[in-house]
Amino acid sequence: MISAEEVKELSSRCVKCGLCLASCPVYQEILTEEASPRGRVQLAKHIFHGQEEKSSGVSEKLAEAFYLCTSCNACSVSCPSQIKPTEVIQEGREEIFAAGGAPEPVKAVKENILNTANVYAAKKEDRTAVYPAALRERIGAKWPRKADTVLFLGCVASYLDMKIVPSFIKIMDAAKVDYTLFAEEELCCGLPLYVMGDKKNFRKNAKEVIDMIKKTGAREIVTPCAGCYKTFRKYYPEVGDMGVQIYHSVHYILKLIEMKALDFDLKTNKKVTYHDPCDLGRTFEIFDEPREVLKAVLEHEPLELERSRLLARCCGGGGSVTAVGPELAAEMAKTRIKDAEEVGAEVIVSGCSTCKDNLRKGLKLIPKAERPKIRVKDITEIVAEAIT
Amino acid sequence: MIAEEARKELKGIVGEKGYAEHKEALISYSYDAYAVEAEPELVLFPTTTEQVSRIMQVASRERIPVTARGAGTNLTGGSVPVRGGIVLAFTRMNKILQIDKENRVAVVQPGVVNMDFQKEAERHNLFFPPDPASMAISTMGGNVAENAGGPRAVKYGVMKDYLLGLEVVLASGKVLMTGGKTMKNVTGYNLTQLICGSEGTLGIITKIIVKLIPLPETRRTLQVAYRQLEDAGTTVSRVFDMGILPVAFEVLDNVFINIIEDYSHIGLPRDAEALLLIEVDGPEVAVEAEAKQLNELCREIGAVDIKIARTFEENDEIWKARRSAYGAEAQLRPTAIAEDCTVPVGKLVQMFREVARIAKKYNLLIPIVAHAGDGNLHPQILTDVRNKEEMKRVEKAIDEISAKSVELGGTLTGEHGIGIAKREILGMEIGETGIEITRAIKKAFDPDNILNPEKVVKVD
Repeated sequence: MISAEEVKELSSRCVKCGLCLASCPVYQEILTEEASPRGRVQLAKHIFHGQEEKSSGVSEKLAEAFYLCTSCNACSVSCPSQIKPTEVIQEGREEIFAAGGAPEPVKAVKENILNTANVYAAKKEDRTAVYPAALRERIGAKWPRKADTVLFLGCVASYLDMKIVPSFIKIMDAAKVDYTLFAEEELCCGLPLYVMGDKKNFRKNAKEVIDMIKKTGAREIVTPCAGCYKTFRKYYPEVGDMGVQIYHSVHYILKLIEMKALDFDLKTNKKVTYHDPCDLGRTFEIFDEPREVLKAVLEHEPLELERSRLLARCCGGGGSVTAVGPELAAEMAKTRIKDAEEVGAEVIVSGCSTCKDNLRKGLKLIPKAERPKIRVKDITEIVAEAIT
Repeated sequence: MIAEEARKELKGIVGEKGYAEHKEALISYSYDAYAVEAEPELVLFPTTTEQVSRIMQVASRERIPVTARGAGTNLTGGSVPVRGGIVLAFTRMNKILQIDKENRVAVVQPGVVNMDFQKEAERHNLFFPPDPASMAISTMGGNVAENAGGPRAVKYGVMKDYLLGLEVVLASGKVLMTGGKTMKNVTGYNLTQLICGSEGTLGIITKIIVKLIPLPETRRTLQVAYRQLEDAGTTVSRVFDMGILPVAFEVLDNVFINIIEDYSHIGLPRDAEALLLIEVDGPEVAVEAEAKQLNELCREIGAVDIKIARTFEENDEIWKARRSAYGAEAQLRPTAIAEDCTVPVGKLVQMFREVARIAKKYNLLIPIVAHAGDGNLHPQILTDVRNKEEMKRVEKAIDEISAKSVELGGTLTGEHGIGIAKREILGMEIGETGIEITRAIKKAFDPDNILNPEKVVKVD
């Protein structure tokens, strides 16, 4: 990541042209300068790096400005001055966190992860509740056993979603992948810790996860969670080498398709659109792979949303917004659902468990009478549905 | 200082959600896209005309300065509250009230984003042409207050050419209606056009009536590279001679070609001295024919490279790169001051050369983008506000560029406004009499000088 010095230099170079405002999903809902990338960069410039006196403690409003950011990175992509607002804002959160000024819901998330190894303070036994019965039976005391492939399912898919895990497992089984997984012992990847600016606990947690993965002797890890994937690929290298090839499920499924390891007998003729999750799209420019996967299971070409790929509109589920401003997060998702309605989609598919969860909340926010008939699905689901 | 009682009263008008006085809000509303910053004492987010009227009643009674603001993309400091007081942020008063297809007019609130409005008009097969580079975020209210223009001005004109009527809250809180929904209207003084471009110094715009035109069937952009700047100038005059009226006619100099290419990687020719972007629109047949004619003409003049955008996406790519110019240059130096001098079209090349001479004289980096078709140059002075010595040279260079522009029969500012940036040199163009009458108008509208004080003209 970049240094405080570099952040200072970046924020001093912002010419305040305002083009980032158009790309910011939070600004688009709140419509105040404080809730915009430019506003946050200016706050960083004045408060963290400027002449403004750092008052004792961090004000609630300052914390709000920095934590009501989805880290979607659309601002950085659209910034002609290449100020990288996302990095400036991340550094700001680290300052605020270190000063003890993070909002209470964020601190609660931290406690949950440290105490229960998941974001929701759920029981570890419940992590496997969503696993297919056959898999639960197969998992013995010796799991995680040795295997070439280790699956990492993620907190959202394990605790909040009924379909992603079973679908993902169905695909793996259909392709006869020899895998292992951590079941009840799976940990949080630590992304929320990173985003909230708790570098210390992030590192500690990451080390545990890396050790755990190394013990399996696997040579590859596959996760259906875009957040875990981003964390492994982008943030873990700062902590240590995982020693495995890292795959997101879209990559892995595409690989299986290319190896002709999957047969699709039940292609769907629904009108499907793909929502680029920030953690795959803008972060790694994974744009074509999910669309290729969709083409393999759809009878028609997938529809493109007006703002897609590099400029995709964030669903609002990222960063700490779901903790600090859940209503705001759902409002942003509603806006994204409207994008899907605009192109006439019947299904909106994402490659991110958090996007799916949040998009469903956005859909529910629309009064029943006006609610479009749109289903929200993860890419693993639509692939699994095509397999008999 | 705003008294505690007045604060309470103002909070009562806009409610908790529309009121901010915490430090972070004040910092966030201390700037626009110009270099100068100043914090307000209060930020209010009105959503109705009635609220604005009541706010102005309080402000005028208490003599509180009020600076109206849209998205804050102003390049001359027009939205910076240099005397503190209240910032009225209009981003939440953002409804498109009506698109009246039968009469081809629309009524919008000031906080509507230009681009959102354009898109909505297009859904009705109608076209709203004013296209400032900030259009993805700048607001209709701000666009009226600054009389904003953009590349399409060559064929379609600027904001004022679409403006039919306004609802304006005066300093006193009284509500003034000007113009209406008709294309023709000569009833009394043209107050609509007086408010347009007045930069928030005469009244607060709360409703806007604009005309719309039929949406052209298609459009196409030619990107033409020349080894010599003069060839670009020749092209401008020859194109008009041929009877073609392009939508837009942009020219970028070599430094800009490279800055934009560094940012957008769209394959611009890095060694060209000038890059022309020519857009034509209309029925497909006509556009195809004109593009062909233009292609031949540019080759004849000596173009080293010509690209014609075949799809809307390709077209958008080129224009997106052009619109990013202001921000992109920040990669070279921390401060960019966007100059806006405008000369009669025939003097364009001469003005380019003058700017280059002035840049050399003061040892400054001043690349240029220009709306060549209407003589509007944007020399971008790249500097660093923290460097006091260099800033002195910058000021001298700006004065000299401005003087040259006026000397060539041009103007100080084509579309960015006077704001605080050019207030001191206003007289250079409009003279003592001009300043006198400007002050008298200001006084008639705003006797206590509370509306965006210190902007355009100094009155006290």
